[in-house]
Amino acid sequence: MPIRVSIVEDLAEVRDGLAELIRSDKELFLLDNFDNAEAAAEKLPYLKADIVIMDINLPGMSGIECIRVIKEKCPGTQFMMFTVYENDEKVLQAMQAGATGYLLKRTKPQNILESIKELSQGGSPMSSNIARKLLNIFLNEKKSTKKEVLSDRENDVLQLLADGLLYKEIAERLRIAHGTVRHHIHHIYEKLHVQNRTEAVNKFFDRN
Amino acid sequence: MYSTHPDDPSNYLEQKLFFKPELTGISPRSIVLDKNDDFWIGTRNHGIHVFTIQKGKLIKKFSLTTAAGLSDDFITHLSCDQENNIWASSALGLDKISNKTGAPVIENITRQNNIFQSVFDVVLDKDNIAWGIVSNGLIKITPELKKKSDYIPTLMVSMLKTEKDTIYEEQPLSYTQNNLSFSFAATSFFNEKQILYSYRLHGGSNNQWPEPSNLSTVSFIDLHPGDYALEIKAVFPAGRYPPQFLSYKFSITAPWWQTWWFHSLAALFIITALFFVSRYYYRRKLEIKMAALEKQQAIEKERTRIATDMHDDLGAGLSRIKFLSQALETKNPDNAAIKTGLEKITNFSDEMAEKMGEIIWALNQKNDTLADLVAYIRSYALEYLSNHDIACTMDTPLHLPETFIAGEMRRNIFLAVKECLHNIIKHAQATSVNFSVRLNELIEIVIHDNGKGIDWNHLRAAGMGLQNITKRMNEVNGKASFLNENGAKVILRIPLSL
Repeated sequence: MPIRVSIVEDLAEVRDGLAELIRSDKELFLLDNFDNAEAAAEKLPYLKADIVIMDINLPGMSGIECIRVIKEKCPGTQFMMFTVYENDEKVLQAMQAGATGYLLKRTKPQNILESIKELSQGGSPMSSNIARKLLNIFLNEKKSTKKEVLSDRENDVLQLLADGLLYKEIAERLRIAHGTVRHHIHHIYEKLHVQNRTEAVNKFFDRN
Repeated sequence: MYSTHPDDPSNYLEQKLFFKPELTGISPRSIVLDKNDDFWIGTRNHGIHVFTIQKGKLIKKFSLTTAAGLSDDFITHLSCDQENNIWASSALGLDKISNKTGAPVIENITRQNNIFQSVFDVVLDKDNIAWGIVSNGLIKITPELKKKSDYIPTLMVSMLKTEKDTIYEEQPLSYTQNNLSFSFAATSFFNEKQILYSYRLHGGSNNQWPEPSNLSTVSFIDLHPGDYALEIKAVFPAGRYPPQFLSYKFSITAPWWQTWWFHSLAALFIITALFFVSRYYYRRKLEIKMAALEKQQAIEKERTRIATDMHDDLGAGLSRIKFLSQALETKNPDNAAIKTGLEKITNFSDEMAEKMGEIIWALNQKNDTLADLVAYIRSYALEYLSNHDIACTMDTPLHLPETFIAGEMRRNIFLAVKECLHNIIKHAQATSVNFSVRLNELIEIVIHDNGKGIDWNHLRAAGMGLQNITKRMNEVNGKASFLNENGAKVILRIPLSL
């Protein structure tokens, strides 16, 4: 079964270049692409994509907003943010909205394909910058709900990542496989999203 | 001394005792034997000497002179009355010496009665009246009445004067009335001129009783405000009355600026003033600090805005170039020259995007903690070196502090590290690098490679790099050291002061 991929990107050259790259890989199957978030929000729930490569800055609705709207309607879809650099505050926002991975625009073509496949297998990337911000978010969450949000191992991974360690270093230090680190991070993103959604629901009920 | 023998005229006088040595030099002129068998000898110019005879020896008991109160030291005649008082006549008058208690008390009888005549001799009749011979007749001295009077003289302050006025009412004196003159008197009605007064001031500086004198006034100058008691002692002549004491209390009030309430008010005022001044000072300081902080924040905000703009616009443009050239590359797989060119374009745009990412990182105020800095340079160094196939051992602290580090400082430190790593790739020919970060009061970054070291004699391209590192360290008050220890060792030390 090839991985079903869709692209939301407003720049035609980038979108086409990426589309071309995906088409060239037999393990991937390219679905419809979109040049704006509104159209994507409308169609994506029916496309049943495995991976959606989502640009952040789009005309009109942003990529983050788009994920927020359709995340619940696309249970089997993983959203991969397409960004110029990984320390962007917006990447974090997208993760909170429900994205589980990101792709740097400067990534070499071969690595782009690898990243897509890795995400579909439940592996996610994370920069030390984002890790540190997540640590604070989960720390506050722990304080306010008195509840273990992350598992011990996830907490270790996040902490080491925040200290600037690379995946392979974390894997060595924790004596786990490289891929396992990515899996932990994937779960952290999912918990972040769940936590964020719960918070939103809580806020909604509080208001009434 | 002789004894008489009326029955034997041939031996009528017999010398019994001879006292020449004892009496030499005092020129005796008169003698009397008192009721206690003491000899009183009046002398020429040596007063009265009193002797007693014990076992044939003449023993002197005491002597009296004008210093003790006699009218004169030349005693022409001595008499003893029924009450054992000795009457001494002299050219300057008559003295009566009573000797009841053992301490003789001298009364100048004539002078007390305003008689200033020579008295040649005194005799006493059976009524104990003394009759004195003076040049123009007799004087008669009647003894005092036996009846003891219960009268006790009153000692009082008769007048209190300041420099200007006499004070009549007993009231607190003001601080200007501090030069005081007291007059006092004792109502003895007898020999008042011979009453001896002594005084001392409690509350003043001198608490001693001075020598008694018959002066009945005392002055004090420049008394400080306070409570005083002037103690006066009056001693009466001939012990006629027991000594009298008086304690006269008075007080001088302090001027208003020396009172406790004024001092408290002044202290309160000073404390309040200090409080307000210091509050003003700290507020002002805080305001200045706030203003500086606001300015800093404005700068940081502006930087973040630039970073965002760069990210959004330039980032989009760069990725466009990259994907365009990539598309062209796939469309022309056979033309080697075009392919190489397009590959270069792709690489350059990636490189630019990467560099931009670094600049944006340094500009963004959201990354302004020490933790951000250390984590960032750590992952940068590791990634950069492994991309160039150089092994890297890392020694950086975990659980980094969130200490604030301004964007400018962060940028300089990062770029200095980057320059070091760049030099290793370009010049060192190293195969491994040890990268360590230590944090105490300063950040210490040590980058140690195993390459050929720094050749100080042939510095060319790398020379610029070292200069840049030094310059960047200077800008953050830091210091860069370059050593050769089995390869090049660069130590960057940056003080962590805010």
